[in-house]
Amino acid sequence: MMRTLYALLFLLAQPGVAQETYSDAFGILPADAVGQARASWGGVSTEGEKPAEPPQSVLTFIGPKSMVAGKDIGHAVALVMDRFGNLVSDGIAASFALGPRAMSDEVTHYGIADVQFLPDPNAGTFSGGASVGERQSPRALFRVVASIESLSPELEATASLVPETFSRLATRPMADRFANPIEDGVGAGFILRHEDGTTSVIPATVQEAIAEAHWLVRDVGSGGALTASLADQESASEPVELDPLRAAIKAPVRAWPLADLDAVAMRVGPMTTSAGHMLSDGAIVDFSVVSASGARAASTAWVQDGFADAILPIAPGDGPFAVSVESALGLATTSVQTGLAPDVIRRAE
Amino acid sequence: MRFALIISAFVALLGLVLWFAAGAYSAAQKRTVTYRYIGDALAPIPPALTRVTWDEPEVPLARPFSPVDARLIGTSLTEAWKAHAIAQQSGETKVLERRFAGVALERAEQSIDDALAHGGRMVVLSQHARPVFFHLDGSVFQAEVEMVVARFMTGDTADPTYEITHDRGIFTLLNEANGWRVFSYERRAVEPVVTEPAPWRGTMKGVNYYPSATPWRDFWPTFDLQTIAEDFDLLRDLDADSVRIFLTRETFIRDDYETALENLSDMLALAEQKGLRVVPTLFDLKGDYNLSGWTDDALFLERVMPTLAAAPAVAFVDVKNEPDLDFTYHGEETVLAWIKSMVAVSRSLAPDMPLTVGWASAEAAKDYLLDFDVITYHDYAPIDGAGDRLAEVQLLAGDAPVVVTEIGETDYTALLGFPSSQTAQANRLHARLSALAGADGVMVWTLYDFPTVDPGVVGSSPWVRRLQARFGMIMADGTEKPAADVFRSAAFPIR
Repeated sequence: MMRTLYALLFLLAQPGVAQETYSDAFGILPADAVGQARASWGGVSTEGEKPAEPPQSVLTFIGPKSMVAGKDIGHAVALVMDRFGNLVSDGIAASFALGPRAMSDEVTHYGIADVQFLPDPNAGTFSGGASVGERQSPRALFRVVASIESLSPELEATASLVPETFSRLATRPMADRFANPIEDGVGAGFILRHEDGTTSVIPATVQEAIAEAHWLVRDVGSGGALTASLADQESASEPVELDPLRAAIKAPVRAWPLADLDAVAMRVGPMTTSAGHMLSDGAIVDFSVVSASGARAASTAWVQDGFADAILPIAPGDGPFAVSVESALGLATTSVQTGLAPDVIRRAE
Repeated sequence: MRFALIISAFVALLGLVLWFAAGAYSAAQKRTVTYRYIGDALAPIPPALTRVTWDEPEVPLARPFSPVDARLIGTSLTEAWKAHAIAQQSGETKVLERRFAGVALERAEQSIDDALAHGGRMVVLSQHARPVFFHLDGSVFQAEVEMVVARFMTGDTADPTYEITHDRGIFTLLNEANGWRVFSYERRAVEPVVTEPAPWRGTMKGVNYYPSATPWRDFWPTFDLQTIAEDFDLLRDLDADSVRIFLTRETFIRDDYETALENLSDMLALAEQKGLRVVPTLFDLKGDYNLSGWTDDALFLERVMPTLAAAPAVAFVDVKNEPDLDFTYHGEETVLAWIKSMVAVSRSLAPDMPLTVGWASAEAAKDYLLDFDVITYHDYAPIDGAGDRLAEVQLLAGDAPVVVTEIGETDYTALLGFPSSQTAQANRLHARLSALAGADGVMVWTLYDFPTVDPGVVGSSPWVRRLQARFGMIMADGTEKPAADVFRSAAFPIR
């Protein structure tokens, strides 16, 4: 009974009203709701294939944005669309202007025409573009830069290195094989391989085709072989001398007795350098003393404010004393007699 | 007087007990879920990944197309259509700007305006692409793409329209400051996805299965083949010839899905070895039908369907468990469009695999027969009408077999045998099995009681959780209930 009833209901069921629809690449909507803009979209819709109209707009992409002269290949691409933004049909010819070069007869496929090109070897910024029929693209810029790998840096003569002064290190003006000067800002460097096996690396940048650095020579033990580097190119090496640090004047030595200790105190200083400053605090000074009777004593001190003090276990009355003072400024010898202590002198003054 | 008071108190107490029992029973019959925390109800959002598969280019490209390019551009294409889907639901077209530019952005925005105005919806289910152009400096890219696309439209006065198509087209993308964006997309060809039915014939006396200790969301992360082997032996001992299992989408769309796929394969092989046929149920615990998630749903099918199709033990695949319960919150047309889409994808992946959907009620099965190879529904409605409901479904199903893939009774006792008891469970199961004896198959929910019921699955109500915990024919400690014997002795089906 129930089966019969359901079968009857099934047969009597009213069919629904089918809705006419329109579908395209981006969705579905009632056929009567398709606007003019949507109807212009190219490609396949419910109503079939809508072919593109003639070219209307051309976009150009040129890259890489920076190309090495004589080496890098450029790639110019034209994206060609009709007035609705649809990709144009295959086989439409496009022409390219790429700096001083012109290339033509490239044809579109899926709306794209492209060409690969070797840019002009002259460095600089160039504009390029594409045209399809009478339609031209906005211009696109690309740069050609000097070919660093095609040159070897050459050092400009370097004066002797003077400790605690700025030394100028520089190359001669650099240009690639197409005579393109190296651009400002390119990183470079100088490498000084010292005689003692150590190495100093001095970074530099290129300005007006010259790599230049001003180097404060400090804590450098020797000269050596200097080279300049640019990218992976390195110049031939040039020998560079180091002027050693010298004393500006021979530092005076004072001695005074320390009666309680049966010893002699000595002070050397001020120890000034040829560069015009005091010998650095902490610098080691070795005192070596021989008395009149031949007794010997030695001590090591450190410089503070240009002076070094030492106490030597030697009889104060056994003078005069032959004193040797060795420091970064070299070895100096002198003969002294004991006198008043510096603080006694200051009080007396 | 005293006697009257005692009687009144007894009647009042009895009424109270009955009231609580009725509430509990009503909760047990309730087929919707209430969550305590919103996070429990939401489907996890997988991380942004490429859902595009790539073919090798057939023409030389100016720039090599590397795996990194494939991932970046594939992710952009995936996210572009995901943004398109999100915009159709939210109406917010700003999301399009992240992945569309130029002509494509204008068209995507126009399509969203039209979708919001007229109710049309479009979802890209899968994308398969082949590079055809790549600018030397990596700034312009073009690919031929083949997509499976679902489009549907609903209207107040007309029948819904559903289209599942293979779209072939050309993508042009530009590499911009914020990544790849679709500059142009043009559809160059379209064909409807044509699928053929895959008839199934057979009978089933089966059981829905989760291990007692690890049901629902715990099953795949704690997969234990030894436990399953012991449970399959129990099923055979109960004279079951089939088992219904559940596959969660999230497990199989993770990057490390291979382990789960191996586990699935092992489980199906084990079922074959034990003489059990399997009804895998997909999209278990699916929380939403957001258009932006359909691509991942299709990916889930791409990953599991080949394994299911290769397993002789699989009888048919249940594409979705109780989708009719989602009509209210997610929209009937959207849910139906999703089902049609997933069926189309499933059929294209496994043409010979019979498919069904496990409707929550006989009424839904009658209303939404669609083009399934097997008609399945669940029967938790009053036992009295079970036979009639089956007959009505069978009448409308025509030649298609009808399997009732879930029946079940709780034995939860709140007080003095209310709302149920083991005896009542057995009696009701017997009655329902008898009423449904004319079906091509019946599957009982469930083999085991579950000591721990995930509130994220059945909701936070303590009543519901207690009731759900006790639908098993076997207690968690392995002791059989009387219902087990009822099932074992049921001669089924009777045709």
